Amino acid sequence: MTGGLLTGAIFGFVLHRGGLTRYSRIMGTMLLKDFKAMKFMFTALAVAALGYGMADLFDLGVAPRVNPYLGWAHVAGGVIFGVGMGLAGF
Amino acid sequence: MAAGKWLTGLGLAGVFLGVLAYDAVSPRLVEMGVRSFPQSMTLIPMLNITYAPLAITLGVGILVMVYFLDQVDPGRKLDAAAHDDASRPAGGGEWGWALAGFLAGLTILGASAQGQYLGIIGGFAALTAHIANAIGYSMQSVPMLDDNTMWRAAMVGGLFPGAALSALLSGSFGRPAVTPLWDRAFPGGARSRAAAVFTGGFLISFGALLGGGCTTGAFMAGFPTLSVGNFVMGMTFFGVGMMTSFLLYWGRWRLLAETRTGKRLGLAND
Repeated sequence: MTGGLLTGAIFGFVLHRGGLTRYSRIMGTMLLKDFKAMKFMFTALAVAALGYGMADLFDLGVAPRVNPYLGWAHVAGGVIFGVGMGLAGF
Repeated sequence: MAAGKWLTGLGLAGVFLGVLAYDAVSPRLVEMGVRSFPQSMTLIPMLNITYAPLAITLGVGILVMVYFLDQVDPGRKLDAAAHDDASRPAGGGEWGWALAGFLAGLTILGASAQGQYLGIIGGFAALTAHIANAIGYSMQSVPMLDDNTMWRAAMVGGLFPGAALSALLSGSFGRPAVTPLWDRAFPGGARSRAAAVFTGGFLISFGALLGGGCTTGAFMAGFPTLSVGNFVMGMTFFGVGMMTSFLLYWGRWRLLAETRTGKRLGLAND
């Protein structure tokens, strides 16, 4: 539980300090006028992918939990989520 | 200032309501044909190679792509133009994408090292389930409460003090209620923003729980796992998110640049 609290606090700190909680940063990426949020997300994704890959290669025991495939739910959920994202900007 | 927290509260109310709405419809999703029975599907068996080379190739490929994105980023000009006290508060300004992105990636790995998974909306669902359980109600979509759901609930609980600490340190605590770009683009001020924040919060949590992940859980943390479901979800919500934004800002593309530079918009006032 302490680990969860700490992980969340670090993530919240990084998101805020990186400007990811700013409306104009999110809208900038959505309107293709400011790629900062996009570059941030892709960098995080790449670092995680490299870390998981290395961990797998050297057997470090850091394996990701893989989300299952749920069929059309991904498209339906994606459409609803996307409208919310564009509307609110977070 | 008080209005800013009131708006955040309204957004959170939307998120919690979305969790409860999803919980109410979740048992019927399979028979409605919206959701198929969960099955494991990643790129690994599809391409018939092992995980490590594929993940490392993905990571390197994305980093190369980010380098080119950075070269053509129109936002760099905006940041240079808006560079002043607003974007550089006393306690230090906004971090660059590389540092923040690197640390966020490490946080995702850190969650996995603890045997957990970083997903914000999933965390909200776990938190809601624990609160519901405390008042004697059991959620259908989170049937089992254990150390894992506790970890995720605590993680969401940590987000806010973490962000608040950053806001305090960077001197941007107590920002204006309505972000200046919204104020300029749409009529209604705090009222229309409140409606958007509440509706957006609801759609985001409902959509994320239905589609199996949010921007963190399905994209940043989900794509590295090569989950096909996350690929479908991520591409759908970014596509639809962009379409929604383009429709909202149709013919008013310059507003963003004008507000960012004209109002000297930064971490402290956006």
